[in-house]
Amino acid sequence: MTATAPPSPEQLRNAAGRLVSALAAHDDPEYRLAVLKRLSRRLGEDQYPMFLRLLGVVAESDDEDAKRLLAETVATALRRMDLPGGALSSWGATQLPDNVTGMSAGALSGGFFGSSPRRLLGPVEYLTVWHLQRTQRTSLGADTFRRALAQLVGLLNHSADARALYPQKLAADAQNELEGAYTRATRERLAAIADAWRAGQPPDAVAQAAIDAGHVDMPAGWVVRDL
Amino acid sequence: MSTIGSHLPSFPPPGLDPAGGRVALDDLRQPGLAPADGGLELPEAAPASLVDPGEATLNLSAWGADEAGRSLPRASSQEGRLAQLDRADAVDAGVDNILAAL
Repeated sequence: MTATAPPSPEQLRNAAGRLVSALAAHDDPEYRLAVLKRLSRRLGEDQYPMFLRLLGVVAESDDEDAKRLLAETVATALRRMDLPGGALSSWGATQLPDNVTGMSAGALSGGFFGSSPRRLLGPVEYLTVWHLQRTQRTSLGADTFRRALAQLVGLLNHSADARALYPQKLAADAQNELEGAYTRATRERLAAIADAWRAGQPPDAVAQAAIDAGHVDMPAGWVVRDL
Repeated sequence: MSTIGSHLPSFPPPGLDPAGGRVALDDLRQPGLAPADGGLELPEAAPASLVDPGEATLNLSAWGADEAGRSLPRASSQEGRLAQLDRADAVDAGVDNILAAL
C-alpha cells in the first residue's frame, strides 16, 4: 500500500473481496481468526482504521455470505477473548510523527520517551475510545463515529454469537473502573452501546445511543472531571 | 545599592527600527501600532479543523454513485490456491494478497 495516495474505491473493494476469499479458503475458525489478526498486525498501528474500513466495505456490500463469514470469525475472537485489535494511547500520550522533518517541542510527551501506555482495543472499543478520549490520534468526529459504529454493529449482527457476546464484553468493560483503559465517559458510552445492542435495537439506534449517552444534563455549577 | 542610573536609553534608538516595520502579533491589538499600509490581513475564520488521517480512511468511498449493486469481487482462484496451502502458509499468502490490493 502506498503511503501517499489513498486506495481507490476499486482497490478497497478488491481488498475486501480478497479478505473474504482468504477467510473462505479453509473452514477452520482458528485459521480465519489468524487471517484477521495477521491482517490487523501487518497493517500496523497507524493503519488500523484501514482494517476497520475493510470490515466496513464488507458491511456495505450485498454479500450476505461474506458478512456471515466475517461476523462468525469475530465471534470466534470473542469466544477466545482475542479480538483483532488496534492500539490507542491512554491519558493523552502522544507519539513522535515518523514522517515529519520538523516539529514543535510541545508535541513531545512522555510517550516519546517510551512511557506511553498503549491499549489494544477491539473494533467497537477502538472507535469509542478514539471518539472520546485523548489519544495519539486526533479525535474521531461524531458523524464518522456514529456511521462506522452502526456499520460494525450491522455486520456483527450476522452472527448470533457475535450479537450476544460483543455486548456482554462491552458491558463487562463498562463496569471495570480499575484497569484504567477507559474514562468515565467512555464507560458510559460502552454501557449504552451494550444496552441498546442487547435490547435488539437496530444498528443506527445502537450508535445513536452511544452519542446520546453523553448528553446528560448536569446540575448548574457542577464541575465534571472526565476520568 | 545600585549605582546604575534608571534613565535607560529609549529602544529602539532613534532612527533605528530593527523590526523593519513589522510588529508582533500582540501589537495588532493596540490601535495605531499596526503597519500603516494594512499589509497584514487576518483570516476571518479559522482554518478547517484537522481531521485524523485514520478518519479520512474510514470515510473513503468504496462504491460509485451509479453502481446498481454492491457485490464484492470474490477471487475464487485465490481461494482455491489458498485452500491448497497448509493453514499457516495460507494465512501469510492470504494477507499478502489483501495488502497487495491496497
